[in-house]
Amino acid sequence: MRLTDPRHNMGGPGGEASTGTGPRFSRRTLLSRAALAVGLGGVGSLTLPETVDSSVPARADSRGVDPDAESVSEAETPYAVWQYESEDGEMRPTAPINVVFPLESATFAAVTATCRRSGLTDRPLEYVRYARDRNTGRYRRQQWTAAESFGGVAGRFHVRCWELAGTASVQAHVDTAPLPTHGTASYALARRALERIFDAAGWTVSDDRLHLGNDSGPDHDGYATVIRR
Amino acid sequence: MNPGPGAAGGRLAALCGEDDRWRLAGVVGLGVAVAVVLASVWLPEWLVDAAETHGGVQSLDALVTVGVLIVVLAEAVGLLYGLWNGGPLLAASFPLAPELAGRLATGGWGLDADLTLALCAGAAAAALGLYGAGRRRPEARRSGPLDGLTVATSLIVTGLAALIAVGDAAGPHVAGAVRLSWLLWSGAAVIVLAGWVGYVRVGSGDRVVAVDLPDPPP
Repeated sequence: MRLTDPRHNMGGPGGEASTGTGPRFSRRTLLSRAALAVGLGGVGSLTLPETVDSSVPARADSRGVDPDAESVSEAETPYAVWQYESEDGEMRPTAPINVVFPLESATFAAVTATCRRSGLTDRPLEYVRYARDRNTGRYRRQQWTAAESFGGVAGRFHVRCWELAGTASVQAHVDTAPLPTHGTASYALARRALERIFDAAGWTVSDDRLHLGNDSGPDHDGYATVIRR
Repeated sequence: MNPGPGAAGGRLAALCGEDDRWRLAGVVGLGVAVAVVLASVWLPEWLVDAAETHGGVQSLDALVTVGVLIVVLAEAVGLLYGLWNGGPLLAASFPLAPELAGRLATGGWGLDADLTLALCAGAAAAALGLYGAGRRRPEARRSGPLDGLTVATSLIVTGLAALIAVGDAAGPHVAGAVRLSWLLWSGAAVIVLAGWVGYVRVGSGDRVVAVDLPDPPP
């Protein structure tokens, strides 16, 4: 029993029959709508931004976490050793510095520019964290940060950088998906990712890592990679 | 709620949901979600220097936590909204709007696993919106509203393009999210395909449909 003959219904915006028998559209209407949908989707596909090749490897080396390791005193090294979180007015170490730049023949701006050129996004959604400046004895907020994505819903590679005492200190980590908040999936994978980024950009990644003794779970072995230009 | 044909405003409303109150709640909720995400991007940048002296950093961190949580939860809320109240366009906006607003605010404009997941969750939410519309409006049950089907289909196409593009570029640490994206996309594709098949059958007066129709009164 057909109340509306679809062949007489030319469709278009007013093509929907309101006789209570359900919507009916002519073949031509359906075809043009399908073409419109695919066209819109095609335009959407063309406006998609470019992909950025992730530098995060599947595996990275780590000497293992020594839970009894004693970290180097922050007064004895030009680099930061820990990243701190401000908690009720107290500074609490939350993550180890795992990549450092002596900046003998490079600048902090060159470090951040290299990160940016690798496709990282600066200004990601992130917490405020600090590092200790031994020259002033004060804690300084992250000076430059970058991540693979704005929110990191899928998980992300994330770096925080400080310029302290003429050197650069970087805390690099891979975040887990935020369920409900970001956790640390790996420090070693992020350290390796940063090594790959700077190696590809022509910097020298030292074979000998610097012992900072800031071992931290899940996989940081207390050594920071030293990168020079 | 189901306005006559040709009413552009009515068609837009139908794309955003069947029940008026749920639709309003959805629009307001989405607006608040986008506003909080933008606040979590901008407020820490504006206030952190002042906050450092006032010990307000923890509140800013809490705001960031909420911002990230909204971006994550919005993906699921879109699916639930579509299922409950139809409205493929508004349902798809839940995963997409907070993510896109945050990206525009930060200038972080690259195709990554996050954007791919938002697109596929948007496609799935739109597809469930077709189902939700049919649930609330029985006369559209067989195929869902054609406008909604158009929205869902275009998201399917864009989602597939994103999935293919991100395939090789994404790192192994986001493999789980890429798998989830494929899963959402596949589910959406099945529903949307069924929608088109339903329209073709209804439109051509298929017998299977015809026997379902009541006899007209004498």
